[in-house]
Amino acid sequence: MTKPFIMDVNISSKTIDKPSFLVLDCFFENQQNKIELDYAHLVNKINKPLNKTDIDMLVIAAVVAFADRKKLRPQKWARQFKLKIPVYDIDVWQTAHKQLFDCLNFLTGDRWHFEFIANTFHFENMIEPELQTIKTSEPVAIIPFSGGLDSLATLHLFRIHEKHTKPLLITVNTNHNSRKLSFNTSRIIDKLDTRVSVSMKLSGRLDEISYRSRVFVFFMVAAITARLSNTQRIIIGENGQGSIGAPLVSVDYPYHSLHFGFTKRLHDLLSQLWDNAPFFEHPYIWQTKAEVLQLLLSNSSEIDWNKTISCSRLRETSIQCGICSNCLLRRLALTTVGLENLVSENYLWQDLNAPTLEAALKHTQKNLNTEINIASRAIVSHEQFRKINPSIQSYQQIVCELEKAGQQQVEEKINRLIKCHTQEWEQFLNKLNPDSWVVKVALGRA
Amino acid sequence: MMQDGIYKNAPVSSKGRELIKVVAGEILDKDSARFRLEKLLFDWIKQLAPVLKQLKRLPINLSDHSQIFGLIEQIDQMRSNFDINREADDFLNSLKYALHSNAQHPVKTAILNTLQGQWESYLRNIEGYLIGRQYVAEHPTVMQRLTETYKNHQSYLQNCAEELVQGKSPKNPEKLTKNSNFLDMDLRGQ
Repeated sequence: MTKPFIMDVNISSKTIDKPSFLVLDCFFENQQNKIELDYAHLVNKINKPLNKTDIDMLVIAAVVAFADRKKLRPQKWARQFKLKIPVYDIDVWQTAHKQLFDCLNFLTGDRWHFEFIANTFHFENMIEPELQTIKTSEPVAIIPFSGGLDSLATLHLFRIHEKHTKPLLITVNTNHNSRKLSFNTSRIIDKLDTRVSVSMKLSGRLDEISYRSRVFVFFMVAAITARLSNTQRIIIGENGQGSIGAPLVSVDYPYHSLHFGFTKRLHDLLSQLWDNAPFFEHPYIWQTKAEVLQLLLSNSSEIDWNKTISCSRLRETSIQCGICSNCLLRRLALTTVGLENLVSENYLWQDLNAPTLEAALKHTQKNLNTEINIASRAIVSHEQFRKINPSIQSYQQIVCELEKAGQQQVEEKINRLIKCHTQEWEQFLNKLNPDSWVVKVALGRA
Repeated sequence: MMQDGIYKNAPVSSKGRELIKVVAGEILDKDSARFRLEKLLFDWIKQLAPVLKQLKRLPINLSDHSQIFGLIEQIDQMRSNFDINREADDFLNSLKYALHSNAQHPVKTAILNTLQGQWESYLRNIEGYLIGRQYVAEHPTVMQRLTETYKNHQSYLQNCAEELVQGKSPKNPEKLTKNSNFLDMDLRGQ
């Protein structure tokens, strides 16, 4: 039996000088670490105080993220968590316990057990309404904004198609780079500054890199913002390769973060917390990243695509690596729509036409074997997605999940997505030198 | 000829590495290779036995279809009654999907689908590893042999699934596949 990760959480706060700032003390395995939650920006932007449920949601999301990053996964993937968390409304959370468990289990593949205890912290000290900077009287839709290409495309297309609805961009900052990245990108493309941010600083060593709960945190903040803005619309701007392709070809627990299977469960959880809970829209789930970009190009001539960042490993290298699955998909999409000539962006692995992996590396890299594994995995994933057989289990399971979430004609849509991806991927390989390391890996003749 | 030591750095469990070692023909003695392959398959299937025992402990009659189909909305809550591991989660997910698709024998279907899903995920992982480590010449042969291994033992897996549903321990594949000629091929010959 796997030993559970047991953690108790206490809440403290600098109540006078920083009311919208929470410190959570986490006690586990004879250790103590802190989580610092700063939601002043959210409160100030929306100009509405958080209610007790909002505070509870932020605390739970932060504690889940911390535990998820702290406890290393065993070889058999699943872990067990027993978390004691102070909340204001114990009854509500006990009622929602099933949905919370279901949501997190589906997302992370772990077992999450919560003991909710009374939060005795004086609630009135946690609110801080200030200047109004965003008018929430007009229709609003929430867009979780990561600073990547999909975020940019979603925002631009939303502006084009829904002129009378204001998009609110949500970011969750867990480190300096993520704040800099998403804020800079959103500021460049959104002169009106409708960005809302929550900062979540997790202290101590965070060894577990899978961090599947990332979108739970992101979307919980989006949901709070939706409630405060009186909207039920949260727009998820992920393309089909990321949403559907990733779980189809995963080698670990399936990556369920960005499709209806997860967001339907999250909606069910939120429906336990308040009436008229938000719905998650996935407007581009059946399109490839290149198709979304093409759609954007056909509607808008000025696109700041080169200001966006797709690389998930940016904090390690300070420039985009160019060969992780996110970067490779970015380069595939840009090439497909004719925006990248393969050398125009600065990447760690710059040259996709180089004959060997080593020759493609622009800068010295310490752990070359790890880099090679990441690059190969990314290339092979595109190949495996292209060759997906509908009889495989991951295909059957995702069809089931999407049908249960109310989607129609799922198989047809997945098959169309695979067909488009195949065309784009083959064109991409054809544009590279036949001697390119990417081509060699993809075609199995390195 | 294949390179030696392909299995050494594969990002899979020690048993997974041993399987690669067998199919890459690195165990020259055929009886020994057959014995190891059978044991690996047997151990793999046996991992589901505790999961099925836990399912049988639930207050439901597994031979009563209406009771089994009544589980569909409860599976996620049921997880806390099961061990914390990938096998249990994979099985419960497969059971949910089998119930959703109205499979005639949902528990047996779930067992077989769990095994198939694990095998497919394993193959994807190994494929990435072989290509990434530039075992390109070996890649098609190893993948083909792994695929054949699964196909050649499908009737055995079916029998095991049946036995697990009935609460019996699965039999060692030796008794069921001793006539299989899978390992009679020249594994080092390509």
